[in-house]
Amino acid sequence: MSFEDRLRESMQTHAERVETSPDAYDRILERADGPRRPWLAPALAIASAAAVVALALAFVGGDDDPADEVVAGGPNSGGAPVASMPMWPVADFEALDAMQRRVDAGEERWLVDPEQVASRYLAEHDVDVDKVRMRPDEIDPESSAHTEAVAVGYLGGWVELARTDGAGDDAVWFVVGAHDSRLPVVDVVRTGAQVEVVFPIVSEDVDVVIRVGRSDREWLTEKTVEVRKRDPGRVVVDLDRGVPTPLILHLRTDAGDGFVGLTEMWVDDT
Amino acid sequence: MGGVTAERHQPESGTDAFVDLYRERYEPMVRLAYLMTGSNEAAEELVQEAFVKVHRNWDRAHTPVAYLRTAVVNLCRSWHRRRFLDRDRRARIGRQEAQGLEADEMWDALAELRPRQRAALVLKFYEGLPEAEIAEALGVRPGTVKSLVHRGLEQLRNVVER
Repeated sequence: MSFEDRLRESMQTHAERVETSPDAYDRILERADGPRRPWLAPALAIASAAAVVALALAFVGGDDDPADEVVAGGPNSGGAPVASMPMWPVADFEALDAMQRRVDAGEERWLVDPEQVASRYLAEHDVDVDKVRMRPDEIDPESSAHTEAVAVGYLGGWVELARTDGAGDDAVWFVVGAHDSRLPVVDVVRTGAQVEVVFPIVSEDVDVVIRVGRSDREWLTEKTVEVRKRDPGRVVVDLDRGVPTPLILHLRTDAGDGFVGLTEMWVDDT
Repeated sequence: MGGVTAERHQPESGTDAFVDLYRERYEPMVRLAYLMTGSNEAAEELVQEAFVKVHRNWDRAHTPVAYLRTAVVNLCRSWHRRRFLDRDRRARIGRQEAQGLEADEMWDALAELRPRQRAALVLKFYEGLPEAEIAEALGVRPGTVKSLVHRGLEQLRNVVER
């Protein structure tokens, strides 16, 4: 018997011992018709992508064509990083447990999946976290796992759950240059700019899809990179036309047990 | 298969087709999810959640079986993410579920694979799907499927045949 056949046989043996509930159909319909469970998958998606997010932007001056103009602004324009802000809501497991108790008691709303974020933090990173927050004006308590209503803010923008097809897609958006007054104000990144993205890789052997666009429905470019090592990934995306901000960057990984967090992003049209 | 009491509850859209989908695919999907999670309880929970997604998106699910399978795979992967925190607990689940079964080194080794590798192997060697469909279910390119299967098998061999 070949190794593959042994594998098939093992799977078949174990699969045949599975038992199913007699009331499964009713439970499905009750769940389909009943209140939807907020946060679950969005929180997973956000946490998986945003356990560590640091952002750096550099902007330079533009030209006379409004469509190609780059408007510099903010104290850090000109190449210096705007911020480096890893995200983490608690400091350790003790704080995590305390947070869980407050949530269970209804004293606090859950912001992100603690288990997921904790795992990422404790297993992979040794960083301090400043803030994790939701964008309350877009939170729909009745939202299901596949809505785009949940966001996590960080200095530099938001990490948002993308619109998905409802099949558990975990894509996230990084919306750069929006919603935070401390950011440089950039109206348009001109034609020919390069967007350089650096991201940490928790898993190896993954594909990372990077899209840059002016909205989550209008992508200017898309690039797929294969990551074969645990080293930080890096990709440069050339823009063939001007991009008005907020610049939306979409990173999606197919890693089942890893994530892609945005470590740095440079917009450079020098 | 668990008893279907569809006469009590009828989905508003695609009623007959949804019932048929449930009758034909519920148990196979639970088996599939079990192979990807190692937990019978989790498998049922995840497959029910997948059916809920199909129900809610019935009009958009042009190929319900593929949609359902993708949902199951994605939910299983999310389940693994949630278990990432407590590796010991994940290991306990596998051991507890395996109690009463004869020792199966292959099964134990499968449980140690990364979720994505495990899913690729299950879809290929249990479901018997072609690479294109595995790629669709996992949301990757066919070339990545080849790599996942190759590396997954290699890792299994390293454990089982050492």
